[in-house]
Amino acid sequence: MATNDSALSRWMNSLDVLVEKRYRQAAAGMKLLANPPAADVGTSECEVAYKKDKMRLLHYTGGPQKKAPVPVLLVYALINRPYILDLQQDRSVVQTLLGRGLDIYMIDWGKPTDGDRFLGLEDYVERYMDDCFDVIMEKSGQKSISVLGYCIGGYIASVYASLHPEKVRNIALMASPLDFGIEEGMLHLWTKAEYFNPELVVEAFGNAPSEFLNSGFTMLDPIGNTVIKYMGLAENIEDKEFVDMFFRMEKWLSDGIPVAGAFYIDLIRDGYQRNLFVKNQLRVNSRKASVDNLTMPMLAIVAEKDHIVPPSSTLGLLKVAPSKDKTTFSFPTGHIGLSVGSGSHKDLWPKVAKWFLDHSKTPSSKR
Amino acid sequence: MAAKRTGAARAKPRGKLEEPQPASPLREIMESQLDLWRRLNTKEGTDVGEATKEMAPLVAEHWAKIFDELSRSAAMMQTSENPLAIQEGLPKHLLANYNEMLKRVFLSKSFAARSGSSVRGLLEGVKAWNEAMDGTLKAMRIPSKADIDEIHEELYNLSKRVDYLVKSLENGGARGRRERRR
Repeated sequence: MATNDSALSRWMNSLDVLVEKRYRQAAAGMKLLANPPAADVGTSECEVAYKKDKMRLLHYTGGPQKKAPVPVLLVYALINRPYILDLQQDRSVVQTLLGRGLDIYMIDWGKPTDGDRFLGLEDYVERYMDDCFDVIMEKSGQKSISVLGYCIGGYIASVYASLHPEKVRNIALMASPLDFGIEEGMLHLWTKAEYFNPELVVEAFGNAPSEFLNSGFTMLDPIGNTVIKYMGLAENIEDKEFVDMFFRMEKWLSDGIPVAGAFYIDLIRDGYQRNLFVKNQLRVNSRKASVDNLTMPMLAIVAEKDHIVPPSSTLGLLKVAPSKDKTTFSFPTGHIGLSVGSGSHKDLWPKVAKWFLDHSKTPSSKR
Repeated sequence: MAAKRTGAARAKPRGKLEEPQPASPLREIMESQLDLWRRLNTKEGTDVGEATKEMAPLVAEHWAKIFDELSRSAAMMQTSENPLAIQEGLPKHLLANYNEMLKRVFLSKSFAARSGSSVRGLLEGVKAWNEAMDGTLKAMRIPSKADIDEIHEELYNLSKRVDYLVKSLENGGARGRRERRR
């Protein structure tokens, strides 16, 4: 009985502290509602080096004056906006790579509208990306450049590299779904041919709507994405840095864009359902996208807690590619944490920058 | 209703979960949830019955974990210097556990099959609506979505053709320049 009494008194004593804390949090919450942070994103200085239809090739102009001769092209995914790679000054992949002397370009695919429903993998690879490569090679005077693909951007980049190996000096694949034959993760299960028909999505909507895609992503971590993250906000509501970052992330998450219909079918049918690329059977514009051509240095950047793209999916391509120079950086974070996590910017991205710098040393002659 | 819940609580014990537990609102929720699963499971040959077979063990495991955590936390609160910290941590633990349960449900083949079928139904519905709208617009001699899509496709094919022509001209031009230099 004495034990219970003292436990009760300890509980009562700490209740004061908790009530005070909750009042403070409520007051901070009210202030936040009245004045939400601006959530500026993608603030690194850049110029548009090339534009075609809705796609823009951004060239970042900051960083040291003297840069490594071989530029790096960041190929973003077709889902949500590319500024996740440049979310805020101290958590920006673009800034980290620029700061270490790399010449950085990034593709912003733009937001597809109804008229873009016919854009397929072939268009993204052979029309848009090939043009970007030509523009960058022309500007830099290099015969080949490096490329870093994030998520689906890694799939597009590696298919491009298999079709145009002479233009790709090095390839880095960050959390990219490449080997779809793995039996891991919800997306791989839900998109199986016996359960899902991507043609039907396109017949109904034209493009795959962002709301449709987001509902699937939310279900990958159902309570985490709908309740736990807001509890985290409440808990840290007095921490300005946390709140600013939270709002930036929310802005990005709610800034979804549709995926062009034909590309969606190509990705689900030829990728998720048939795994044609890793099986060396993918054809783009009647040309074989042969993994045997992936002889350039390859870097896999995988997130150990990635519930969108399991690491084995990215590493599966490295297993079948004949390149003799393969490196893997595995980091204990999630799919998005790779690009915005403070730990990633402290420990991972400097290593990635070094990898690109080390693999850019051999002089490359003019075209 | 209360009598029904009491009846469920007196159901024949089976497995670890149903060992005697102290009476609590959570216990009642668990009992009614399990009772629901059992009743659904009697509809043999239906989808619900099949789904229940797969999901019931997950739900049972989930509640067993929650009760374990509740017991552990209650014991720790008796001796802890800061019992409120334990109390505060409890909802997070329960939500994380619920999250894991849902993830396991979503990762099951039966969920994939059922959600696939629901999505298919929804998409067929949207398609039928689009077709009905197109039919109406056509009858009124107004360009329909299908007509606009046709134009989009035409434009897409043209722009693609132009791109390839421009590229082949550029390549030809570059080749020509190289040959002239030789």
